[in-house]
Amino acid sequence: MSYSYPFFDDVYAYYNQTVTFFGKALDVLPGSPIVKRYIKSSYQNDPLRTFIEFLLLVFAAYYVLRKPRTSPDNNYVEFTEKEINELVDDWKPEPLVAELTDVEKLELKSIPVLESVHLHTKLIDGRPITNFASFNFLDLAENKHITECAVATLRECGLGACGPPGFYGTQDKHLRLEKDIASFIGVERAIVYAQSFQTISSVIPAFSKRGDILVVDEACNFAIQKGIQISRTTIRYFKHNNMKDLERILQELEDDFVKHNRPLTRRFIITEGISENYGDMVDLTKIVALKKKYKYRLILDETWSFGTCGRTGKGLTEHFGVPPTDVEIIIGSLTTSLAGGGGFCAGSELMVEHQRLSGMAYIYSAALPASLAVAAYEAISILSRDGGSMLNDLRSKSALFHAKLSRNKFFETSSDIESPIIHLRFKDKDISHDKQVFLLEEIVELCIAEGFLIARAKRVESLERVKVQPSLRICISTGHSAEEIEKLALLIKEKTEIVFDKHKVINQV
Amino acid sequence: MGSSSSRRRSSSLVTKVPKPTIDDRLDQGSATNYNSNWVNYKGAWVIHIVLIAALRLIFHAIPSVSRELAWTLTNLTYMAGSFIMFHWVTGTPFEFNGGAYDRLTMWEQLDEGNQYTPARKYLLVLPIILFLMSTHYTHYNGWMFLVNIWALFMVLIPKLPAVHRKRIFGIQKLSLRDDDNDSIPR
Repeated sequence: MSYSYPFFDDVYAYYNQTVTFFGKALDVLPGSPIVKRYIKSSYQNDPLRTFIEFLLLVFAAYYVLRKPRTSPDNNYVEFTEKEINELVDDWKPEPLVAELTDVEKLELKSIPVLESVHLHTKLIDGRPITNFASFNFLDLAENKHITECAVATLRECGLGACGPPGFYGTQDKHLRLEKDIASFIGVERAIVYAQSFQTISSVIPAFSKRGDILVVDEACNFAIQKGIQISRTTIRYFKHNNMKDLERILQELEDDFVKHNRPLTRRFIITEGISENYGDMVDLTKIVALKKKYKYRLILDETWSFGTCGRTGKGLTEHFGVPPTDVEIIIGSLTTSLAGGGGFCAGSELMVEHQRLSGMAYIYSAALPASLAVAAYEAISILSRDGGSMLNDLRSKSALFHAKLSRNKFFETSSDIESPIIHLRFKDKDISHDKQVFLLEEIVELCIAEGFLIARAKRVESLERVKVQPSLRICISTGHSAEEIEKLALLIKEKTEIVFDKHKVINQV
Repeated sequence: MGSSSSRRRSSSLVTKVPKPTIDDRLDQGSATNYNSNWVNYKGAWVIHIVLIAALRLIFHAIPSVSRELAWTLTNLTYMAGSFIMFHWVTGTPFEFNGGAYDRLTMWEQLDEGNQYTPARKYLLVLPIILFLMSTHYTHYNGWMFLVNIWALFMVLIPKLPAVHRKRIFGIQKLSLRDDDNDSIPR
C-alpha cells in the first residue's frame, strides 16, 4: 500500500511548474536550446564532475572580470598629492656647475700647454720643458720614419674611416696591423679597437654574462671597472696582486660550487700586467698556475705593459717567459709606446672572431684612422728590429730613477723597478686625502717652473670603486737622458721640502 | 658564512625567484622582449584555436582512435605544449637583454609581469574551455576525466597571480647565483 503526502505533492507540482515556466522563458534567448541540451546531456548522474566544472567556470569568469594590475615586482612608489606637494616645496635646485675646490682652482690655473709632443719641447710661453708625463715610453712619437709613413697614409686614405669596422670602416691598413700584432706577440689573431679605453670595457661584456664569474684585481683600472659593470657578471675581488688572496677566493668559489652543485659557467680572472694605479707588476707565472689549477680563463690587460715589458717589448708574457697562448685574452694599447692610436685584443682565432659581432666598441664605433694604424705597425716593425736595445735602455733608466728615489725621505713607491710608470706616494699616511692632493699639485707646479713636466695621477674619485692614495706619476722614456732623470729625482725632493715647509707639514716618517 | 648558509635555506616545496635588481630592470627595459610580446598580436590568439582544431583532426584521422580518445589526446597535447612553452622554458632564445630574463618563464615575462592583462585572461580561459569540451565529448569517462583535469591543473596553477615568480614542487627550481646573497661584497 503506497502512502501519499498531500503537502509534498503540492510542493513538487509547484516546483515542476516553476521549472517549466523558466524553461519556456529561456527559449526566447538565442542559443539557449544548445545550452539546455548541453546541460541535460552533461549531467549524467555525476554531481561531483558538474560541481568541478561549475567551479572552473566561476573561476574563469572571476579572472576575466578582474582589472589589469601592475607587476608585483614593480618598485613604483605611489605618492599622495600631499606628499608630492611637500616634495615640490622642499626642492632646491643645485647649480649646474659646482663651486671649484682649491685643488681644482690650482689645476685650472696651471694647466701646461706644450708646443709639440716631443719630450724636449717648450711651453706655449716659450719656456723649455722636459716632458715626464708623456706615455711616449719608447720615444717613437716623433720618429721620422713613422711620421713619413703616417703622412703618406693620410694623403692616400684620408683622415678617418667614417664607419664602424663591421660596415665599411675596415681598410687594408687595419688588416695588416692585426696580422702584425698577432705575429709580434705570438698568438693566432688580433682585433683592433679605435680607442684604448674601450678595448677592455668591450671585451669583458663580449664574453661574460649574468651568471658567469669574474675574479678581478681589487685595484683594477677604471676601464676594467666599467667593463665588469656592463657585463652584469658576478664579481669577486682579490687584494691587489696578492696571489694568496686570489687562491683563497678561487678555493672558496670551488668549495661553493661543489657544495651547492652550481651550474658550470664561464669564469675569468682579470688582472693588469702593469697596474695603472700602482705601477707594479703581476706575478704572471703564479697566476697562470692558479688559473690552470682552478680551470679559469685569464684576461690580462697589458695597456701599460705592452711595449714596456719583456726583452723586446712583447709584454708580460715575454717578461716572465710564459707562452702567450697560455693567456686566453691579451689586451693592449697602441697609444702609448707604439705612438699610434686605439687598442687591441689578441689571442686565439675563435676568441678574436667572436668580437667581430660581440665587441660593442668594434660594432658601434668608427674604425681606427688609417694613419694611426700605419704608425702602429711601423712601430711594431721597429720593435721587431731594435726592440731589444730600446727596452734595455728603458729598463736601465727606470732603474736609475728608482735608485735616485731610494734616498727620498718623503716619497715611497710600489712600482716595479722595471716599470717606466712610477707612482710616488707620501710615506706619511696620516696626511688627509685632500691635503695630499693639494700638496702634490703644488709640487707639480714647482717642478714645471723648473722645466720638468710631471703630473699627479688623475682620477674621478666619485666614480672609482676603491679609493687609492694620491700619487705623482713619473713616466720614464728612452728619450730622457740619464742626467735629466737624476736631476728630476733631486728636484722632486727639493720641491717637496719647500712645499712641506710652506704649508707647515711635519714629515712624520 | 653561517648567516650566509642560513639565508640560503629555503622551502623545498616552494622556491621564489628573487626580486629583480636595478640592473635587471635596466636590462629588461632596454629592449622590447620579442620572446613574449607576440602574445598580444591577433594572430597569436587565433593560432591557438587553429592548433587545437588541427590536433583534433589529426588524432581523429588516426585509425582505431575513438572520438573520446582523440579529444583526450588533443587536450593532453595542447596542455603539454602550453606547459613547456609558458611554464618550463626560462630565459629568451636570443641575446638582447644580457641574460636579464634568464630566470623567468615566458608566463612571467608576459606584459612585463603585469597581472590580469587581456593576453593572460585569454591564455587562462582557453585551457579551461578546452578541458570542458574534452570532458563533454568523452562522455565523462572517469579515468579520462582524471587525466584531463590533472593536465588542466598543471597549466592552471602556474598561471595564478599568487604563484608569480614562485616554483612549486621543484619544477624549474632555481640554482642560486653568488649575487643572490647580499653578504658577499661586490
